[in-house]
Amino acid sequence: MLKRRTESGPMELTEHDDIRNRRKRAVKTAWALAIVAIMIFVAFILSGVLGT
Amino acid sequence: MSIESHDIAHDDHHDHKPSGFLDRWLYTTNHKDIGTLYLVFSLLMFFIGGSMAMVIRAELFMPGLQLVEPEFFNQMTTMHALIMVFGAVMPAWVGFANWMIPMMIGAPDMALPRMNNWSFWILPFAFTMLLSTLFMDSGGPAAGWTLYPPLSLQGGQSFAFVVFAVHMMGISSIMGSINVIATILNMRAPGMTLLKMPLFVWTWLITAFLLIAVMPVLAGAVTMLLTDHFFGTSFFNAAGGGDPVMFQHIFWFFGHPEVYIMILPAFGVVSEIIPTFSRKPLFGYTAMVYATASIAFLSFIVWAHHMFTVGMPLTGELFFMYATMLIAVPTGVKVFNWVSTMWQGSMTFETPMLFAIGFVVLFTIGGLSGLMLAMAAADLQYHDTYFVVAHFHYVLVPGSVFALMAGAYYWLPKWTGHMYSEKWGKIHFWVSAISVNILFFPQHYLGLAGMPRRIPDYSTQFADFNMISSIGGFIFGASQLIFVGVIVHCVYKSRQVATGRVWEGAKGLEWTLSSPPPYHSFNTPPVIDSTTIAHVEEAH
Amino acid sequence: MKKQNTFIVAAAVTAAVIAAFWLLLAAPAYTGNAINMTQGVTSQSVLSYQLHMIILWICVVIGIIVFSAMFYSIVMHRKSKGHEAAQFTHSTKAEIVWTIIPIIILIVMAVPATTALVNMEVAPETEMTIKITGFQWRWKYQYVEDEIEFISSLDTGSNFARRLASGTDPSSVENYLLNVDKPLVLPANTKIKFLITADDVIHSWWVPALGWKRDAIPGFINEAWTEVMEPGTYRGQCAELCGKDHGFMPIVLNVLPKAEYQAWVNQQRQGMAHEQAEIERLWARDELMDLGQEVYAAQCATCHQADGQGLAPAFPALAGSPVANGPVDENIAVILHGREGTAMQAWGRMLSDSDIAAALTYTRNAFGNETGDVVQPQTIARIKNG
Repeated sequence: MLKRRTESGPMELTEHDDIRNRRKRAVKTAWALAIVAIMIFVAFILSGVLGT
Repeated sequence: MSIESHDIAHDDHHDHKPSGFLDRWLYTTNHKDIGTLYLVFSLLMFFIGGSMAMVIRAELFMPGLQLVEPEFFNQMTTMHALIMVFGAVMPAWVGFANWMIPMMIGAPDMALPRMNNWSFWILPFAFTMLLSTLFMDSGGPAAGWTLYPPLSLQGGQSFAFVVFAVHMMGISSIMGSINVIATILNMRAPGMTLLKMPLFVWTWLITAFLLIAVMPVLAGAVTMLLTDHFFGTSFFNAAGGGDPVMFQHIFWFFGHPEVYIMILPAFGVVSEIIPTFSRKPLFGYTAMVYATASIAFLSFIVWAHHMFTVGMPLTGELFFMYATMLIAVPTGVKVFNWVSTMWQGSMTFETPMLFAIGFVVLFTIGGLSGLMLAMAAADLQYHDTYFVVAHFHYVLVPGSVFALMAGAYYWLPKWTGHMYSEKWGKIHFWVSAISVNILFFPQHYLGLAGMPRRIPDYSTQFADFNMISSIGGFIFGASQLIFVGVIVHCVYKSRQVATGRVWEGAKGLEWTLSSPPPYHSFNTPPVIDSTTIAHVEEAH
Repeated sequence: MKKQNTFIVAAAVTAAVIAAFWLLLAAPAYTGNAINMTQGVTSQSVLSYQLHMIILWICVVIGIIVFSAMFYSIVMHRKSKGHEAAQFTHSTKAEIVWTIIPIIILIVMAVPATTALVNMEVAPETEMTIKITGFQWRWKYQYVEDEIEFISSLDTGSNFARRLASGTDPSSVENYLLNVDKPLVLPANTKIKFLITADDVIHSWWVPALGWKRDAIPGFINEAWTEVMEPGTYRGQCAELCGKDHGFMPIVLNVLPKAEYQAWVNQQRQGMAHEQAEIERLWARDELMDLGQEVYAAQCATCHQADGQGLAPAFPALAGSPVANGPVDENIAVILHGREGTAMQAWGRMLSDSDIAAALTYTRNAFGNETGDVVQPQTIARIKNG
């Protein structure tokens, strides 16, 4: 893997930093957030339905 | 200095932009092009919303109705707010996020480029739909941007278009926010820890969480309005057992975080600009991050201060009053930190710095009148008067909009590779800063003297200040044409080439790139070291 | 030379800014217009005024301190003066100080803010009750104990001058937009309870001199109270956007000394007895047409227009309308009960039977409508009472 020397000493780039893995994690984050958003929407509609 | 020990073969094609017009703009997945689209779109909306404000100020120039019928006046106030909030200010900040976040955290692009394209291209359709209602038989929405039922339910068939337009804007904002969060959490260059991120990135991260939390709430509220209007439900209809006040609670549960959505990125931009032109690190970086987070948290528990007159129980009123007063603490920390950043600096006053200082002063005036409005007993007088209009325009116009302009002048040389005209930038600032006060300051007087908001005509005792305010409005409106002139000149005509760093005191990863930056910013993650980034974790 | 130029520019800009602010602050002195909240005439308005002044001065002082520090820095710590930038990044001590001090100020502020709110909201034992109902776009007042009720609308002078391009100069109208046909008459030095509600959309009842406003919400009854210390005339307006004529539904209070108020109540009672007699008698066609024209101009013309042509699309024309020319019973039902989902209101609760009968007679025989019908007040009374 890629190695870099930085002012705080050498820093190793791992599998974790690989761009493909990052993209996979990004998609997971996105789905999690989308589900949260949909749940909030449904919860507020339901609160209206149950409230009346 | 740090050196990369392994050289990486650069992508030969990394600076090739798509050649066709449609390929470049319609199908684009590039964060910079999408950022540009957002910014151009929001500028267009700023002028459409602004021309509605000119209609409003022209009608209010003198007592008596001279230009428009009251119904159309109400459509103008409603549309002005919807366009400015959802069409101008919010997309402008998303535009800044698109352009700057990948460059600031050392990423090649946004995490989800295709969704990025989609979240922008929904907007033109949403606003075409919203604006088209003005040409329909039943006219545009006229119940205020707050869409309070039962009044909003009296609108005709065009109301369905308004609701769907709001849905589309909401979807666009949510997708934009998901992208921002996914990018910031996953795409930072190795070594760019959260507490090394520029403050603009921090404020946007928090803003994006606010958006995801509250845009679905707005979507739910307008959906219930839609079914009340067209499908005979009674969510908010008292006659059918519904509760019109419940809508106000839901709306402001969205609405109060919404106003912070418009101001938090402004805090971020100002926190980038003031250190640059003071040639001094931002004072109290960590405190700024925590202050932003506390403001975001508090925004969820203060909503009913918009509703002190609906007849809440006394304990409820007291709770919302105290919670609202608390916001003054983190907001105060921010203002003190900006002043301390300037303190003992070596300041110069280029246009971005002028707008940033204008922001600090005038936003603080709006913040202080906000503290006054928090006093529930006094708010029973202030509520729904021009005092409120003055207050929120101070925080939104010389607040949020000035920060947008500061950011535009600050990064324009980076984006285009050319310097803008400093002389015209300064003229733009001074004319705007003086006229915006002539426009909004007298509105404090009008409100205290008893003029309600959202009225097309007024008693003659309010005539003088309305005329002064209108004159300020016309000058402010016209002076924004200077802004367009400066941008057009900078993009197409300016011969003065910008360096990569652009500003002497500028720090941060975006300034390590050329001006204009390569089409894909950091194909190789940059090395993070204290000489290039603006903030280094504080040694305690 | 360069430095001198900068100085001149800086001085000019500072002068311009100071001049602008001075003008803004001094303008009221020249125009004679109010720029501040007034004390009002109730204990509540005094409380909100005092709270307003305290918080205003606190804000002014905070503003002066913050801006002075900032402008001192702007003047002294500039590169053109050769000031070198310090490189400090934080100061825990300073940050704690400017977190604690605002908290202390807020805690101190919370005391008068809480006292004022509690004193305003907690109603004492009241001596009389008025029910206020907001309609698009007029107020209805009911004196619960004295059984008096009436509608209060924008006065004819303002109503005429306020039309688009009316050609009437608003300054020639006395109390333009702040005058009504029938003011709410109240006794001074009496604790009065208000029950505030609305019939169609949300309104907000606000007279600044009383020190508060309260939303009038359909389906809800909000309580508020007042005790006016000074007899006099006080004016206010609807404060919550309620549709096209939101700006044209003022409130006028006529506060009388107790004895005069009692005389007014007696007079109203006699008027009501007279009105009852009027409903029972048979009216001549011309009488009905004359009164009908008046009622139409005051109540109906806002929407249906003076010429009966309406205002498309929300407000239909009456001229040639199938309702105004159709069966009289259906027409009466529309007037009494309104039309759900439109701006047409249930006038049965707002106008007297004579007024409704007259307006019906007029609209069925004007604007080219020629039904020849004469609607008697007793017919309306009979239908209303089932």
